[in-house]
Amino acid sequence: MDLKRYFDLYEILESDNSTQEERRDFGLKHTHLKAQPLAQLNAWIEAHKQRLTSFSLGQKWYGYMYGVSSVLLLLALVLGFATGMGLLQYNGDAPVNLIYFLFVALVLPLFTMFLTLIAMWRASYRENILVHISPSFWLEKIVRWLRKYEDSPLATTPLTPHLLNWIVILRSQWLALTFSVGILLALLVSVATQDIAFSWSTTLQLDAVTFEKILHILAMPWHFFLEGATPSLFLIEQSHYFRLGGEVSQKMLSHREMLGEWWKFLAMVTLCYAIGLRVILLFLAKWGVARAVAQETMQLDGVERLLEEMNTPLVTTIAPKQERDFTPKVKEEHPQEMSALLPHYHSVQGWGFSLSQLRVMCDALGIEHPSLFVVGGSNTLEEDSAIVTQSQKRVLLFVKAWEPPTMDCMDFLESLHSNEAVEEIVLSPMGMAEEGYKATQEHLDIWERKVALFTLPKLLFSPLSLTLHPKEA
Amino acid sequence: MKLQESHPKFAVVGHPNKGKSSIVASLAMDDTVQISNTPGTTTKKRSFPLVVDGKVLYELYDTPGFQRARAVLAWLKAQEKVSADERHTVVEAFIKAHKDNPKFNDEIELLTPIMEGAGIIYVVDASKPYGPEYETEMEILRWTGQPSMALLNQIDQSDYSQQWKRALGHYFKMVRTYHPMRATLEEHLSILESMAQLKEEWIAPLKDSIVCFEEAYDHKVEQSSYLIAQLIYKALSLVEIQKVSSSTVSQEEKEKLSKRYQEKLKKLESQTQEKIKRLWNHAHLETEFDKLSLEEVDLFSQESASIFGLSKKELLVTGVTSGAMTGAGVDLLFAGHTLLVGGVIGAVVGGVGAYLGFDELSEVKVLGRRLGDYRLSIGPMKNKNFPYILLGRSVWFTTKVMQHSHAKRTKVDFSMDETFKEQWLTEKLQRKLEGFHKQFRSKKVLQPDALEGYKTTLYHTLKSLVK
Repeated sequence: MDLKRYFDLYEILESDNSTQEERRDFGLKHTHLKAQPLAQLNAWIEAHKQRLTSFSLGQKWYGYMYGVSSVLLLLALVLGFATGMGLLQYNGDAPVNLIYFLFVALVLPLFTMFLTLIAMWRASYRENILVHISPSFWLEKIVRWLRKYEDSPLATTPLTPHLLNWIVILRSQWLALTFSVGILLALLVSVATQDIAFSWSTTLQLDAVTFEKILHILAMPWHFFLEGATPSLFLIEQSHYFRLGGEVSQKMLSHREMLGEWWKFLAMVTLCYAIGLRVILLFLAKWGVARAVAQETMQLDGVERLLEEMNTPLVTTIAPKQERDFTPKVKEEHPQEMSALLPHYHSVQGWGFSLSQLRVMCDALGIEHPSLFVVGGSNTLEEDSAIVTQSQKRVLLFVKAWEPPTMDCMDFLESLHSNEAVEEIVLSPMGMAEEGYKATQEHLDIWERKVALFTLPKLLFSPLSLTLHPKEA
Repeated sequence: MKLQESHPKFAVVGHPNKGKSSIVASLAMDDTVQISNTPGTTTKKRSFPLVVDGKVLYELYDTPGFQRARAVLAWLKAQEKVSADERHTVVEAFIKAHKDNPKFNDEIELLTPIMEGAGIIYVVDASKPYGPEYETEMEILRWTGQPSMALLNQIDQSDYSQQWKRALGHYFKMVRTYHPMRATLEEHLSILESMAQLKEEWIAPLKDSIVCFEEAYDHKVEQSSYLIAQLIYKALSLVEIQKVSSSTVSQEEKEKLSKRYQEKLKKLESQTQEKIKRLWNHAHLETEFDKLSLEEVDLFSQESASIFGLSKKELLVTGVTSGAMTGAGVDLLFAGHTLLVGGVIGAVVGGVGAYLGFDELSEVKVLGRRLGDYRLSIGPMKNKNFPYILLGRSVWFTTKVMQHSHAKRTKVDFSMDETFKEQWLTEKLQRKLEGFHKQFRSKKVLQPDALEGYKTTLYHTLKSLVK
């Protein structure tokens, strides 16, 4: 996973509308990658890259990075070269103090490398002061400001402070490396184009022997294969320069051809410390960026869910098809005619009630019952048909209010209604005995709505609430 | 993914309006099932398969209720007499003969899956008395010859279950009680175990289904914990910045930013709640839940200016560096003979200059563009109580959603119980959470294991609350 892929994944996820099923399907096709989430994400990007625009955010960002980095790298190279030329400026009056050069080509790089290591160690902090002092950080800020990048899509990249810190660290290594290459170039150009006499001069109480020991330690990395690039004690002694008097000593002048020998040592110092060590830091920074990219990829919005859905069995329990909306049919124009229960009916019939239950009900409500019939329930259709035939004049039909009206009941009601001997049918939904036979309004509404769907002019609806209870009266 | 066939099927059948759809909604965890007290809401059979990666482990059918059971039984009995082992062929003949007859639409719909091999789950309402009209239905089901069980659904408070058990015992080898409105996962799985007993070859797939349900449940608790963890992290680290016209910020500008900040926090919370509802298949659930109140929470706002997008602190550092660079340039001109004093002086001048002249510098225009701008910011949230308010609300909401029945269709009041905090926030847990909250507020980039640790803590909290 690299930065380009990171951007691609961000962009794909931004516009992703894949279903959980599709993601799981992908996961099942790539089960060999289950334990490698980054590889799985890479495969996902590969499978969805056609969704990326021709000039994707990743490409834009790389374009921008390339532009800014090229300018900065060129500047660093020029600055390095100019610094080198400045340090090696020689007009023949006095030798060039190699301590200056060592400071810029050795001490300064080692110091900045030390700061870089601290910056790497603290790269996970949002505000990393060592990152902020990096030229690549603030120069880029200025470039952004000048090019109005705040208004561009790049201003809203998904780069986190952690990732940005590592990017700045990496780019700083490139800048420092280019700067050092510039210095080395300047050294080589200077050596090739003029005769430079090097010397060393310091206020510190440093004698030639001690200085030689220091330089030998510095030259250890190449001493065994490039002995000529290690200054000898004799050369060091001959090169010691004191400015007092303003003139070059005769001793130095007598060995002037030797004084130029220092360039090999200086070139190797630059190559080994300013460039070699920097290259190691550069690879370390690259590793840091790759690690940060990997970490931040896992933190991108939607990644956790994507991996979760790829790798977790897809369990669905819901109906694959949507249900059609149900709206109860009600005939608003024919509201059911209501009637109170009367004390006398020619026949009393109970749908699903037993004969004894019917008797108790009639007694409780003070209804005379010349003939009582059980209908529905365990009766056969033939038995119900016989009862319909026998029915006449005013019929009271009790139904269980808590039981919803079935079509079986409505068929019976229709056949009773079609009997010409029947003049009036009073339908009374009854509640349970424990509740004093009073049905709930909810149950009454269900029955009322149901019978209203049929054209039954002889039917009267009689909830118990309309009844004057004779025993209570 | 292509669905595989040949799996146990179960048809949930019964009298109209006895809670068949509620039971199916609860067993299938589907809140899209139409449930109403109006009989006849279900007019077509509807399948609810438990599918795991394209493999159907079992399938539930919601069916319409019996409408003309006596007419059906009469038809069956009127056919040529057959022995008990051949009765199912008569039922098949009934379906064939009446499949286009609208009069028997409901019976055809409910008998078809049974005759295709579905086990029967006969649902009755045990809060209403038993009636002889049910015997006709049970007799028809007996004619189908399919394995069957009865479920007592207690819709209201009254209890006639003993009466029902006596009657159902004559027709079904197994009678179980199930309350779809308040069933727990254990009760749900226990019904599945009973269903497995209906036929030997259904035991294995239903055992797999039970494992699958347990894992899916655990996974959902984990996902909910992650969503809450993310909410707390995002809310605590939220920073809202607004550009302002000058260094003097008006009360109106502060209030505007504060309102926007609060709105964002509320939005984060409501988005998380929606995700949790969807996760638990409660996308259609309407809830009444008090809005997040931030009136008593101190919001901290800070005014700052920037140049080139750099803060004062950043520019101070940058000033030192650029000063040093300028100084170094001077050194170069003098071939380093100044012993880099120029660099040191430059750094001091640059740094001090940048610090002292910061506000003035931000007003300077270059090529018509002002170098800097003024900003007002709120966040990250420093109030120590806030994460516990938000977390308490989220944990409460999640446990309510987790325990909410898929069979309920009314708007639910999720108002928080005053004593809830005592139920979940122990001193030990608070200490543990505080460590995470510190990390969320810190300027350090959040480590992935911090969020993972927070999620795990919440997972155990949620599990213990719904135990």
